[in-house]
Amino acid sequence: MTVLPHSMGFLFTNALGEVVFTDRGFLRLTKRSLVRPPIAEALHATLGIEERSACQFLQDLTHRGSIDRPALSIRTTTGSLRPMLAAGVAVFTGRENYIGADIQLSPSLAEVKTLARPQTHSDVLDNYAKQALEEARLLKTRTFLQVYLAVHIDAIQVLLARLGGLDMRDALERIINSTAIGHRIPTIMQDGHLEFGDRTVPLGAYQTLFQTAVDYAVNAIGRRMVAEEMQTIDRRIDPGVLKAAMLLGLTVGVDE
Amino acid sequence: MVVAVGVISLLYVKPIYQMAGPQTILWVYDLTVVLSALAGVGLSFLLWRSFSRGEVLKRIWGSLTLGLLLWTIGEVIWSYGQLLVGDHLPYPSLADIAWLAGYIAVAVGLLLRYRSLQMTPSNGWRRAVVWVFVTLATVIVAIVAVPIIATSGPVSFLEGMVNILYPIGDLAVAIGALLIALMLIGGALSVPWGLVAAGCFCVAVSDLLYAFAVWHGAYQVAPVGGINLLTFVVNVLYAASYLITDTGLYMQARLQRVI
Repeated sequence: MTVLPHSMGFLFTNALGEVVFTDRGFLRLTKRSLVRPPIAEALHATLGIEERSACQFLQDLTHRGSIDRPALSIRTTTGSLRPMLAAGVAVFTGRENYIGADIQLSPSLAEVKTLARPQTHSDVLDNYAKQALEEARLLKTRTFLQVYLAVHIDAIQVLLARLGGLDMRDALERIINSTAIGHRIPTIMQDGHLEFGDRTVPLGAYQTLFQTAVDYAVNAIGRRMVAEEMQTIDRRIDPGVLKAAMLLGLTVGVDE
Repeated sequence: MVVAVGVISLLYVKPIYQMAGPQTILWVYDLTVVLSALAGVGLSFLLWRSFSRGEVLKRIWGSLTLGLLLWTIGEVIWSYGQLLVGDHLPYPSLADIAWLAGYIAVAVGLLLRYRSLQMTPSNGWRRAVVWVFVTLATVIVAIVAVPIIATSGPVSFLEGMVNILYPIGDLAVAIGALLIALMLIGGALSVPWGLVAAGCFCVAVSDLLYAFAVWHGAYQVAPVGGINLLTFVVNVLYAASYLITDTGLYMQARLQRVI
């Protein structure tokens, strides 16, 4: 069964239950404008559910590590209710430091079954990368390398927002944009989403943007944490894409 | 941390103070301060060790560790003078040199940390920090600098300078830590940095009151009958500053998976 590229949505929160990042799939599922993602909103406001339900969801998540909600009715921006399957994973640094929740939303059970039901943060990142690559394959709007870069930068920005706050994520966006302008790379990061002006971005540009993001994150939170996050994606991403990325040096700078 | 601060406060409750005796209380207090300072050095060292060579965070934690180590050396010299020599140390002493050098190392670490974040606090927070700075600076000028300048003769000039350098160092370190904590608001790192900033503010207030008390002859080291309120506040805030900072460093170490 082919997973429709727009069928799943991903949402990431910090330890306070505030949304720090949503992917385009989530914005489409909730009929939101792509240019105004619900960053810094409380989870219940973003999902359009009762505050009590959202708190219970996050509480269960932190106690059990991962949970499924078979029928969570999420309100779209037009006011309609959309029943979805929600799978959540609690993210920790170390054993006990809860830093946020990864939430994967899907309209039907079949779609969840085609991708592994997430049990860990690593599973969510794997599903996130798979969906992004599948979308690129079907829609041909982005190259696999562009997806690889975007997925890694998304993971970095979520990690920075969770550890250093949303201002730190904003700083990353500002630094990436000024690097892109300085190097005349036709790429812009807006509201957390990396936009490529063209499918034929010079190959060196990927390395420049990747290194810029990694360098900032390493300075802000340390090499080990950044490296672990990057390697979590690389361990399970499509080997062909990883090989191309490695040839371009997109993994240099985070390995010890 | 709260329990430890509570226990230190209890030491000065009159019946306990008189039952244990001033020297015993002084020993317990000084050892608590030295051990707390040492714990901070240990935690900071573990953080320093967790980063790889070339990382800016390695330099940051190296500088902070050095600063905390110098403060600990200052504490050890001070306590040695108080507990074992039994005579007051000269003022300024080697302990003061270590403490003042510690401020430089800690301030460098905080400056590097501030720059590594490449962020600017929002206008609201900036205004808040400016107000805190202006308020503290005014208090320092009013209750420390002006009286010292007005009364200091050629003999006490050095003493007066050191008395002024302490609040300046305290203010620089406290404002630096506060700025970092404010920039990290919303993130998990804001709590440990917030605690470090709180510790710095406690020591700033304690040092300020200490300078005030010493200049007016109101500070009591180990009186027989029990300490006055000003000495109590100075001592408890000072010990609390290390304990609060240690808690922040411990949380930071756990977040970075060092311990």
